[in-house]
Amino acid sequence: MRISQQVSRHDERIILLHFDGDLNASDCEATSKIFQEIIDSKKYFIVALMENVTFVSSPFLGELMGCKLRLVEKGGNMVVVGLNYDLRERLIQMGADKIFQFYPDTHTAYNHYHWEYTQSAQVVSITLPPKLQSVPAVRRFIAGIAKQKGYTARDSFRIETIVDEIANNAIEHGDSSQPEISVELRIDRKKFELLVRNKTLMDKANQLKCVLEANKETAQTGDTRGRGLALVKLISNSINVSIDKSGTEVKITKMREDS
Amino acid sequence: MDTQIELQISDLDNVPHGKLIKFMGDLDATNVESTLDQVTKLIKEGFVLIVADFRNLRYVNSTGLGILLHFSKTAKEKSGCFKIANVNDNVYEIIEIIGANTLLDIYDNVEEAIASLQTRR
Repeated sequence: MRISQQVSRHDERIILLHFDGDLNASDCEATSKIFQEIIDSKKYFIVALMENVTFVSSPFLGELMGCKLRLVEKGGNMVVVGLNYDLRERLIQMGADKIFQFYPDTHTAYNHYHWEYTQSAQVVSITLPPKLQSVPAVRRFIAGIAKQKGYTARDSFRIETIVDEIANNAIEHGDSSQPEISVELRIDRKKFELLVRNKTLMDKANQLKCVLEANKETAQTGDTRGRGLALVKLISNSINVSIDKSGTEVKITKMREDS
Repeated sequence: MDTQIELQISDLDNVPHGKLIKFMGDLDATNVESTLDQVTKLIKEGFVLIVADFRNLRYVNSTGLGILLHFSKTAKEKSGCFKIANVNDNVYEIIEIIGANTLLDIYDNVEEAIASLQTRR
């Protein structure tokens, strides 16, 4: 085994550890020492580069798990990059995928790091024509993003519902001459924010505020708008509506359920 | 383009005036009208004992929920019923949150829903 380390040029809080050759039981002690030196230097995020690794023994895998635990205890993590197909399959058979995230390249590993540890949000902006037929594709697209970002199936479904109800509402009750509806999604590890802007006649916009403030709920509400907004209120954490001459802006925040 | 929803309608054995409707796809604002037309037509033809199988209904929104409540109300007005079976967890949660579970007859599976029709005869 050969092991070398370098500080990432991408982010100095990340250490890149290059492993080469066979990783055997006899390499455990040296590896443990290197990890301890890294932890002592107050670096807690390690990307293990394994594209040149040919074999990982069970004892060495156990050692890596222990090293990862030491990092996690310090609020850090270690991910594995560049495993060849056969080695990856072998590690999966050994259950290593339950402990480590495997990534194909360092770029993806950095993305993971930023997503998990720097609270960076990702933003998606969509403009859609004011037609109900345009909503299903948008709601499914946004729910798909949430799922891909690790939100649960239940959260993703709720997000799909929120997008659907708010976008439908903007189309059905918006100014019939409005050229478009703008939808902005801002998602991070802990929360999902949706901003829907459209042009609404002032009286309809005020009706929207009344419906929201009335705290109307349940199925008995004959009015679809009331039922849809009541549903959104119940599955989200906050709704803010702002109205001015340029239009109506509805902002929904939903916290990730396992955050 | 409208979201795809397909309704497969079949007779219910030993239940005169009964129909089984299998909902497949998403029930939302783009297709409530066509769904409303199809089910209302059945009720007008006298098929007022309806079991709706939701096994393949992936999604429903408040508009869709509105017509389900409408079907239930209309069927009851004609001394019938509109029963729902095999609701997936996500859809059930939406029904429950909005309080419609107290207004709709919901069963774990189609067999139970059909059995409940036979006991009412």
